[in-house]
Amino acid sequence: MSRRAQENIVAVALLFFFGGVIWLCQDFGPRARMIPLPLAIFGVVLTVIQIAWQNLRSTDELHLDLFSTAGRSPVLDEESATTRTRESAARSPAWLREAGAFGIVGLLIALIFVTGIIPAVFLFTGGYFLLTRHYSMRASLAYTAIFTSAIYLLFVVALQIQPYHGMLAPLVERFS
Amino acid sequence: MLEAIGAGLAALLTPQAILFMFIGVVYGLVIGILPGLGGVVAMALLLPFTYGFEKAATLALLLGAHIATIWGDSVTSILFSVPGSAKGLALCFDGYPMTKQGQAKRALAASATGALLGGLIGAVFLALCIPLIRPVILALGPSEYLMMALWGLTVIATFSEGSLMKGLIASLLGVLVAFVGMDVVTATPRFTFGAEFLMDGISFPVAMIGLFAVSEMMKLAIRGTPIVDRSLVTEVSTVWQGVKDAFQHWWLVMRSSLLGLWIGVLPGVGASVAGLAAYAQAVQTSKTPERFGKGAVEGVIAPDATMGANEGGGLMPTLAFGIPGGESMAILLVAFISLGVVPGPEMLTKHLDLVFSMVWIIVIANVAVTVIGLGITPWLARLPTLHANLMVPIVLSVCFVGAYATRGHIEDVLVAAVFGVAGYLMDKYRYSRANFVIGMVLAVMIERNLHISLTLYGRDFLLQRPIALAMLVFVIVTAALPFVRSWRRNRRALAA
Repeated sequence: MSRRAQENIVAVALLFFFGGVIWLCQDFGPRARMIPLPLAIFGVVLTVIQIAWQNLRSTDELHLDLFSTAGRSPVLDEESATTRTRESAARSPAWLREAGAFGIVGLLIALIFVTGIIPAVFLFTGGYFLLTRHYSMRASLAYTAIFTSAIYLLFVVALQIQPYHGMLAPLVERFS
Repeated sequence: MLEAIGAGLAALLTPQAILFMFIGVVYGLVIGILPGLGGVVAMALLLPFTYGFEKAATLALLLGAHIATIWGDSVTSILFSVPGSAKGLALCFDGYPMTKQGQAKRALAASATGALLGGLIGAVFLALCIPLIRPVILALGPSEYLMMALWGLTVIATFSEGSLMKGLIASLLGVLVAFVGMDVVTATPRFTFGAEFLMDGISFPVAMIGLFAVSEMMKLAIRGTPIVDRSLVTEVSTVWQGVKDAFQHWWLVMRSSLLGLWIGVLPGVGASVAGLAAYAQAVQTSKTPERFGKGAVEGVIAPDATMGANEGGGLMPTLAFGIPGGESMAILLVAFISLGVVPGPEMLTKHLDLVFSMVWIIVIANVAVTVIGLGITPWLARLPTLHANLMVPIVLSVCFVGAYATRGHIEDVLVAAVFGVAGYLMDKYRYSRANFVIGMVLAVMIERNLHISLTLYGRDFLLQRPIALAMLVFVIVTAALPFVRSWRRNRRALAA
């Protein structure tokens, strides 16, 4: 997908966000919406201008906008364009890596909700070390155990924060 | 008065007070480094353990821990762009770029020295100003607070990364996100979609963990290399260089410290606003504002000096009127009561020695934190060179545990993840994350004070509050200044 298309998707999503705020504000009293409503309308105006602007410019200038064209040096523009080209060439399967990063966050969240915080930290850290093969299996397990113990001692024992036990906890209790 | 100064110091020279001070400082450093936990949490957790000890020792433990969290917060902001708490945010803007440029030692040392100098200036002014500050505090009302918050917004242009339009959109997003939850003025739940946990609003530290820490770890996972790859970037700085930087920018330190002291004096403004305001004034008064956000050492010194002095400022209204300058001072107030000390005018007569004990605690704790900090800086500076495969799982885990620990709500973990993804996308498409956070920090302050001003003085409140009007003129001038400078520079460049 082209950079312009991606920028347009983001801008349209923002437009929906601001539009949603305006719609939700209708349910509030005059004082409660006194600040959010005008700001959301201002947001819509700015986003519409941004969409128009980014579709009228060349692809190389997509990171610029109406205000910034006046104050930006052409040398900097060239440098950043070259850097961008070099970076994108070096990271050819970028979408795959990005999907992986989103997946990592999603997986950790899922583990926390299902197994609870401390087991999730153990499973996630250990799994990550093993899958990336950065360390040997023994070292991975040792580092994971040390790290999880440190988290437990610090947050649960020292700071006395009651950990979340996860959705599986009632099941475990029933069968134990 | 000299007698009280001596008695204040003598009370801290007992073995119990020295031990408590040391424990407080080390504990505060550790808590400060943990994401989501700051000075308030540090003091709140210590409070139950303080009953039955000497007054000075108890205060040394609490204040020592609180002061140490300031630098603890700065460490992770500088090294990983992971703010330990809200007040460490401003350190991410230039501290993290310095780390990436191989100047972590310099940034950490400048930060520690800046905080020390700020703390010392704050302590001296606290000692001198307590009797004088009362009329000044009483002269300011919600309209003036509103103007101060608006002044904080003027920094938006600095963080817009070449796209002011996107920068403005990002700050509007931040402002609107801050309105999630129960509106304190009208008692209307806004944008909560019936979710109970959203009634309290989006937790600011949780949002920051997501926007900065989680998104940075996502970037690191994508890149697959360390934050600082030693084969490409060598550590070019020294600890001594950072110490020298703080002294060389003595005028910036002085200005930032006075600003921190001033913000500390104002009840309810908070250290996170102080850090951002310090950064704003550093940018606006710099002859080369374009260096900020790319690794300017002044961008590290100013917020730390401000936050160091902020503690002294926060103590003033707490001691003199029993009005806490912030959340941490409210906890200190509870400690006062448990110690049988009643804050108010009597503090300046009956308990003057205790007041000076606190001034000494600020001085000694700051010195201790700086000595420890400078000592461990060479080791800390090596952390960003750890491989991404080690950093990503560890930092992500700590971030989500920290997000949960902030309020004990499991939903906050989800909020941190959502903000993490949003932060990643904002960074990719150049919608400034810093502007988002600035909008979020200042939104509630702006709305609350605008409502109160309108209620108290009507629609023409500015005409009735000449100080606020003068402040508005100042806001307009400082907002226009970067554009005027940029225009002049371009004109000069064109002429050349």
